[in-house]
Amino acid sequence: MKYLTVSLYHPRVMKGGAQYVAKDLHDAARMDPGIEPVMLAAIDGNMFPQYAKVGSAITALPDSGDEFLLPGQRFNDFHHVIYDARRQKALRRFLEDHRPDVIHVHHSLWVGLEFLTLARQVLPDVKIIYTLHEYMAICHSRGQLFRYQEGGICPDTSPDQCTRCFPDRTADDFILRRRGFRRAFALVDQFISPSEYLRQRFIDWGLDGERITVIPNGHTRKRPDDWTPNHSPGVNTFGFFGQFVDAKGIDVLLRAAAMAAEETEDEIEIKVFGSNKEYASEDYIKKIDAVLDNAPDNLRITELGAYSRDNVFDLMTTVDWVVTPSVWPETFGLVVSEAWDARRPVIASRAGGLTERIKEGVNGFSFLPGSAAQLSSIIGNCLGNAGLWESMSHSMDDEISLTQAWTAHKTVISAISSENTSISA
Amino acid sequence: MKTTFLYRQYAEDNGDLAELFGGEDDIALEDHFDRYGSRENRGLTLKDYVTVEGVLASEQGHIYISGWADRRIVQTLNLTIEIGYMSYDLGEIDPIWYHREDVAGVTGDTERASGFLAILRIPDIRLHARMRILFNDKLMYQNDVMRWRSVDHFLTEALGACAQLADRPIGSSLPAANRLAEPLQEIWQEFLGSVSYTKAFEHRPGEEVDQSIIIALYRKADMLIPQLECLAQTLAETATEVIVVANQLRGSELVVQQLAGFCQMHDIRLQLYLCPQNSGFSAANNFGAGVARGEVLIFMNPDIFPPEKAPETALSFLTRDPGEALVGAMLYYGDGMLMHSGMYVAQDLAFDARSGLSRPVLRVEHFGKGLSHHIDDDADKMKRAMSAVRDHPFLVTAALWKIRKSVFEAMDGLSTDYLFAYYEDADFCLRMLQADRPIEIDETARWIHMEGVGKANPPNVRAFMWMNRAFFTERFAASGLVAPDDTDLFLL
Repeated sequence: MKYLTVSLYHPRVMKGGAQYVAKDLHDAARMDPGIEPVMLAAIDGNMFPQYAKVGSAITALPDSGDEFLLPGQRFNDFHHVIYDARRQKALRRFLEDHRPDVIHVHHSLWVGLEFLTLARQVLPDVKIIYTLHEYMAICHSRGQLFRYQEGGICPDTSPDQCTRCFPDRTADDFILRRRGFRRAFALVDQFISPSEYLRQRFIDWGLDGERITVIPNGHTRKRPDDWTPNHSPGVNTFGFFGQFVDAKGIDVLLRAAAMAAEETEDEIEIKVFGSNKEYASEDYIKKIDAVLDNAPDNLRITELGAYSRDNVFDLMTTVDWVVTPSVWPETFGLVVSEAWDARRPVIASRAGGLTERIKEGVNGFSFLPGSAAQLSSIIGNCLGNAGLWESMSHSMDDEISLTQAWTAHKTVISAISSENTSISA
Repeated sequence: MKTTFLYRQYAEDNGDLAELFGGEDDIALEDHFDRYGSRENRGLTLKDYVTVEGVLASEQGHIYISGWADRRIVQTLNLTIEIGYMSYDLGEIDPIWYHREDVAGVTGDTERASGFLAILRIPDIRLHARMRILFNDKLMYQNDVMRWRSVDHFLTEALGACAQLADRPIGSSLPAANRLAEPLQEIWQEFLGSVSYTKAFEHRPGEEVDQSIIIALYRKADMLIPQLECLAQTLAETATEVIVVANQLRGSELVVQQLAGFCQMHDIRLQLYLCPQNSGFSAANNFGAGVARGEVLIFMNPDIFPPEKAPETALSFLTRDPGEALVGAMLYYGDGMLMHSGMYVAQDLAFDARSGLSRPVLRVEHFGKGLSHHIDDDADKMKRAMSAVRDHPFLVTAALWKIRKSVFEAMDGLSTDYLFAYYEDADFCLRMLQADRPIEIDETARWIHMEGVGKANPPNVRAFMWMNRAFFTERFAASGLVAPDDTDLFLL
């Protein structure tokens, strides 16, 4: 089976969750003797001109035999279309040359929804699966279903509600946007969702539930076989891993830690491993600075900068508890898988896909998104609680492996190939 | 009471008269004052009683001038415009006067209209940097770096300036609209005579087609690709062409690239013509009709879409021959509620108690607009609703209509007498009715019109809507095609 992965970015060009998932599955397919994989990563050619060869719509990724880049020069980020004749000509030839049996699309950004039409035109019988990595089709606000102006998860995605985030646009604009996505999505055989929460949001939006299969993102274990987890002497180190942006809720964590520190004489340490701080809003930074300025003496906060999947395991062992205080409805939460790999209990907000992953007291704890008071209480309960840490650290399960995830994808492919659209996870 | 003419003061204030008559010739001095001095506003600072506030000028010599005057002191406005080293004496002007509360509050005159506005023309103007405006030989305005606007730019800005009138109740502003019609029409027609359309893209040229869809754009093309996506299959499978005529299109290069990409993927017949200025709805559509190869013309706004669910019936509207009729379609808002199921012309009384004006002014209304008929309603429900209105003088909107090219040409196309947009489709319909030609609405053709919520129109748009309404009224008030009061008051 020829298996084409179409992604937004490639981890070698820019790191990010969706491209890691796409590349991981591509690599897993390569390890499968029955599969011939090809990967095509759409990128913003303006942002990464070093990958955009003049006049060449598709280029090979250096030192890779089956990975290609599709640098774009323009993209309609509202309707997610491009319609570039030169690019389409190259894409058509690419599809004709490779003739994949299955195309696995991971994004519409810089791919363009019209790619689905083109794929169907060139290869009428190709099976198309599409992983919904976030809510991009539903939400124009970075695909996050988070109302920045209100500071809360978007509960109602009716077109008129979208104008709250985009007052310069009309409900009609959003009706059209939705229509464009729906029209393109009609060409997809099966959708993959990393969480039930995301699946449900897309069902509410108009996708048929039967067409969405939940497969958690597979995780490649970094933990050595004979490795034994240890905690810090005070079991008092809480770590944040993620992007330093508004929707990740670092401010909630810091406020909660400050509240917890007021209730104890023990020292609490917060380690923030965060990237992309430059994308955080001014208000958000102000909120954080306000907490830092008024932090109690027994609260130590350290900002340690960005991390990568190559060193995240080691970095996670420097904390006792991993906190994911997101205020946007996370679709999955890769960091949770990484924390479990490092045998770190996760304290997560009940936001989106995080909710269904946390088993209270088994692999973590949960709190209401944005509730510093609840998080503070959990921090207080965890602080110095070596017994709790030990019991959770030794009883938690890992997320499904990459091999398991790939097998689940093959099951989906097999099912749609035999025209069985009733697929369960 | 004894009244005395202060001839010595008059001579002292006016050195030229003192030199001419001396300071003691009381008869000659009083005679001069009666004959000339009063009108020339001698002895007062004219700027205290008349002010020029707004001046616009086109490179073709069109002048817009506005301001205010205390008309008890300044009874006449003799206008001289100096441009560089040329002086143009326009004589006594007769501007449009309108009431200004802010001026009345200062001058104390609440009886007379104090605001004035005039659109004038200096033929064969010689442009220069400096412009000076004199009223009654007194300098009122000077601009040492005059900006001379192109005619279309001037028209837009002058209309924007006229919004101060357009925003007033129609009773007090209708006479002004009628007064402004002539100079603005002259500029509009002159401008239309100069516009041109350039072919910017063409796919599958020269092929025979049965029908031509004409889409007139203004500035934006943001819905064009989504619209074509919805039409693509029908366009590819039938002998239909699309002619896009774009006025003042922003980002035209990008639009051309997108259309090229679109046509590569969807093999449709399409032409794109660009007009660098805004030639308005009528002229753009008339041009599209002129280059159309189909025997049937379909006028389609860029925000018209077939319904998302079961679009086939709506799409079949495009390929059915309208015969000799002008045939419209049912239009629904994006949320599915009824927007258009025919229109009628209603009549109001424009009144102004201050001037005593009371006369009809026309208004175009949609039957059932916003009513709770839904695009998914069954045919019987719609038939019942339509039976109430079908026998009335019935107009359809050009947002989506179809007509044979031969009929359209026999009707001389859309009237270009209307500035930019609005009322031209109602005009066309009324002329059809006057010519005893049929107008129908296809109740099975249910389309979405993403007309959106009303955003505040910019001043120039408010002004040309107002002007066009006045013109439409002039043309059709006595046509006998105005709906009776009970239609307007009770018929949905």
